Amino acid sequence: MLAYCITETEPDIQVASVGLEGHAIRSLTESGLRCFISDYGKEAAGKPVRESALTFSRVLQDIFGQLAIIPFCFPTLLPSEAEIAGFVRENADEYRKTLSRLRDSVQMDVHISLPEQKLEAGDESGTDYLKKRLSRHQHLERVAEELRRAAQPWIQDWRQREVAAGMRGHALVARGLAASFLEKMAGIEIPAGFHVRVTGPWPAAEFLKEK
Amino acid sequence: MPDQKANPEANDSVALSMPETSGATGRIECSPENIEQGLAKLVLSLIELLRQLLERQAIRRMEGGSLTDQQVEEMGQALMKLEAKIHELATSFGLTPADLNIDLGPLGRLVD
Amino acid sequence: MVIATPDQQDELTLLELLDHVLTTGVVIRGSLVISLAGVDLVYLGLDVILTSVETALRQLPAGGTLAGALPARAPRNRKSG
Repeated sequence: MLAYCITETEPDIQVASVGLEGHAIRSLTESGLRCFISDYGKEAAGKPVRESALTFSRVLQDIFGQLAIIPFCFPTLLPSEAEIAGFVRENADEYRKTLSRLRDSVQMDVHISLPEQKLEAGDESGTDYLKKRLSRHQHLERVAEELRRAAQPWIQDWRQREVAAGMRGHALVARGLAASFLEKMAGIEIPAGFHVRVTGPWPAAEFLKEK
Repeated sequence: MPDQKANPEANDSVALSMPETSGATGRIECSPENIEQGLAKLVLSLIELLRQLLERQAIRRMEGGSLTDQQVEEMGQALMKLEAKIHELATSFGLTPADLNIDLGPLGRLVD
Repeated sequence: MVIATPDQQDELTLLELLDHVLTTGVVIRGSLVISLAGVDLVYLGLDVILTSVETALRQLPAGGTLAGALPARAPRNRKSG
């Protein structure tokens, strides 16, 4: 059994997409929540991850287009519907609260990258090296802050983390405002050397836990 | 450019080896042709992950002002050498920096 | 500045879709499988969370050692048994 995502029981929705290996998507209801699943057989296990994961994500996008979801990481496999129901039951309080909080919100991702400088010949001191890394880190933080401030009217919440290529920001935005958020971001001027990519709407996976 | 953490190769396959409850799994695939490179990729990717974590913590400490000049210099030297060494090792196995961002699934996010 | 929505079919968007479903979302048990020539051999189930030394030290009782302070908690949403 492959688990896709958890949603509230209202509104009732239709899932047009098929799951992995053409298996139908169905849902089970447990503790006031709905969990979307499909069969998962041995033949699916031998298939390339990329194809399976893309099929999985298309199902998520289909469901997410209609209401807020708590997605499962791919692949989350359980032996039976009873096990899935049990898992949902154990966490029902938390999930109900989360879905209520995120009901009308979506996540927009802001990828900020700053190409790494070429490695020096090895002449610089350890202190210079760390100062250079610190300066890069502070530069990225400043740009992230500028973008965040520019999008302030749309942002319900913001989380960010540093990654190898630069910085990733996640904005929680009202579902109806996703398009205008993208429009607003498109008009912002980016400092030289930086590359920014803004995408969405996504399920609010970064906001499942209240900080 | 999105951080290319998810980079599954075309010939990877999804793991179904756990009969009991199984969550999200990253997979490292080694074949006889690329066994050395496959293992090198795994080891170096994990070291690179740790290097990023170490660097992040070192910078935070430096920013916080709780370190002596000597400590900063020595940490910087160590991190600089580590970065160069990882590059050197990767190159010797025919790996690029991008290759060191292999799919560790959600485990790759433990170092946040 | 590049703007993109998830329904786009370019490679970067597809990679981003993959990144979302492979690294975020509810995890019941995180694991890594190392396989040899298509045969799954090694299973690493990592339950330990990496934390910074400072965070760990903050949780130390006075005079305690670091070994005792590192959290050995179950991953969130862990299914018992």
